[in-house]
Amino acid sequence: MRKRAIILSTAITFGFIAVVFRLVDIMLFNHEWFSAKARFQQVRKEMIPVKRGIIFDRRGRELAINLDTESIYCDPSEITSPDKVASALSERINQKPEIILAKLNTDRRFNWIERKVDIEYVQGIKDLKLKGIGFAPEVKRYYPKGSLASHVIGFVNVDNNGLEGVEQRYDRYLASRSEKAYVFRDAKGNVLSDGQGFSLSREIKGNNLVLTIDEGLQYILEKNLDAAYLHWKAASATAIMMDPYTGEILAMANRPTFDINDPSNAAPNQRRNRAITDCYEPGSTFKIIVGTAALEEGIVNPDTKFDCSAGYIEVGGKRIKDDHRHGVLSFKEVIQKSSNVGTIKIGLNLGRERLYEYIKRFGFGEKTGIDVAGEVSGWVYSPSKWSGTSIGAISIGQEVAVTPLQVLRAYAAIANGGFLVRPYVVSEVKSPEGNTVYKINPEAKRILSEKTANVFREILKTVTEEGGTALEAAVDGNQVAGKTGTAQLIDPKTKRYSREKFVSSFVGFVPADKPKIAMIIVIHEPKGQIYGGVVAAPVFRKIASESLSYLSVPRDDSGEKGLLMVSKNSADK
Amino acid sequence: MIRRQNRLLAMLKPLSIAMLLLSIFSIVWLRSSFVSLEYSISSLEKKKSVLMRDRKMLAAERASLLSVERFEKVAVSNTVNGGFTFPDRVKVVYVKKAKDNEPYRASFKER
Repeated sequence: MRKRAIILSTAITFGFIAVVFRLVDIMLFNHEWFSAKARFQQVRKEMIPVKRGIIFDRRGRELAINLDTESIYCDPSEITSPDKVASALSERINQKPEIILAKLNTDRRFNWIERKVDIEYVQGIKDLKLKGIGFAPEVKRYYPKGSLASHVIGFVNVDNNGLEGVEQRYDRYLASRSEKAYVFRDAKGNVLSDGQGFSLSREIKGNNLVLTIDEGLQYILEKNLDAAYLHWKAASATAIMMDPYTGEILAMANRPTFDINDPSNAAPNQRRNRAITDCYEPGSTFKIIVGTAALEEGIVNPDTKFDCSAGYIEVGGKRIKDDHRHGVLSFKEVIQKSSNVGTIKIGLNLGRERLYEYIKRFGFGEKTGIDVAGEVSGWVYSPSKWSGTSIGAISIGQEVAVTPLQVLRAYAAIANGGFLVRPYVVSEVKSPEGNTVYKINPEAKRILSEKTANVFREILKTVTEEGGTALEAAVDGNQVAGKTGTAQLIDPKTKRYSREKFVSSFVGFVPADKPKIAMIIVIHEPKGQIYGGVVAAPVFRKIASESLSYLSVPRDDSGEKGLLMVSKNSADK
Repeated sequence: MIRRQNRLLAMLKPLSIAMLLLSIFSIVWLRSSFVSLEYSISSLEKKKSVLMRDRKMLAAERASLLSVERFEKVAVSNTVNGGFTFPDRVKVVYVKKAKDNEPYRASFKER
């Protein structure tokens, strides 16, 4: 009995000694090796999700936000029956089984099956507990207003890099650098958190953008532009609304358009921001250059007479006609009735050099500097390259290529008393905590005297009055100042001006004396009618009328009726 | 005296072993409590992240529902009130901000 006890106690003692030796080995001699092995098994590297900044409109309404999604991937080496897996997945994600099967039957250890799947679908797939199928959290950009302001906002690619619009231009502010974090996980992959380091709910946020766009104005503009685009069966249409004093773009839209939540299904033709990327010959809306230049140089006054009774004028051997024969017109009437003959006569008095100088002063042939990707400068040849007919053609808006935004900016200079402004769509960049990172300073330079701007504004008012070309642009309750344009397009086959294809436009501002908005409407190739006063002017009226209501701008006559003046008795205080 | 010392020594032995065992179990208990706490924290964080995700989904839904386009559609198709129309600007009365140090009065004429 005693012998057995000795053997047992010796065995236990040796057992303990062995354990102690092993512990000493683990904790002292091979500590580093075992620590490294434990770290390798328990510690995992996790990427903290990066969220792009939110894009707000000028009143703080969200135009671009982020949604949490999950991407589905596979490890083909772990999948035993790919057919069953492909079939099960196909039922839950919108993909054909053959496509999924092709991804499952590869030699690679990692393959994406579907990126950024909505959480509700992911849960269904997770419940299947398919071996070899994994999930990775990802952030998806979401535009809650659908296609609204699509050309301004732009979109991102699958890796959340900005590709178009302000998403691209302000990518460095919106995006943020991703960070890695190390987490402890157990054998089943459960996270062990000490509550201080990595957190499952932690995320890195980019800076937020505040746009100058107003969602309400944008909707009014797009709704009416849509109607006109469909009504006139136009090839394309563009409208821009701007604050003429600051250059803030209040609304900007093009047709055709696209859904920014699904840009891959849109043709490049739909994605183009024509307001800044497409050039056209402006036609009569360009007469503002000759008109203001002649006033500024003292060549004319509003009552200077021009004989337009011939109905045509020959310049460099080319005959340029008026649509209707007018007789003798004052300078004011030349603009009001949009006489080509009268305008060319003024242009000839002005001369090549001065005409070119004013074209450049108004910023044509140069980018406006708007902070949206893709702007083009258009083109204006220098006088040394002009032909004999050029001075006549350029005076009436031919032989130059401009963007709708450039034309709008030129009219804004009349509206604001002679300053050329720099248009912009982002007013402020804010940190996720709400601090200002960057704020735009409106830029403006004087290009005309206030007197010239005021005189020309009075002339532009007459365009929407009886005898003018844009009666249809007149807004009930507020005076509109503006100008129509009807320009022929070049026929690519004949290389001559087409008799069927036109660009109809109207550009103006309202209320004329204290403008709240300046706006341009450009309709390419309308069917059935061609004149800017018929095609584009009514669109201007509808948009302006609703916009003035939206902005609570009183009618011009509200001083006499409709403006309730209330003042407070000091005794009540 | 010697007997008492021997008895004390005899008691000290099991006591120190018990103390040793107790401290070992305390360490193990502490460690297991710590790990359990880590699981709890991680589980709460998971819940928090799900709630945050839901909040974002709701915010996205709210942003869609608050679109001006939807407002107009709902207003126009509001059959209870016969459908709303855009305000007639002639019927809109603008109230100018009150001025100080003037008697209280209201008028349609600017002073």
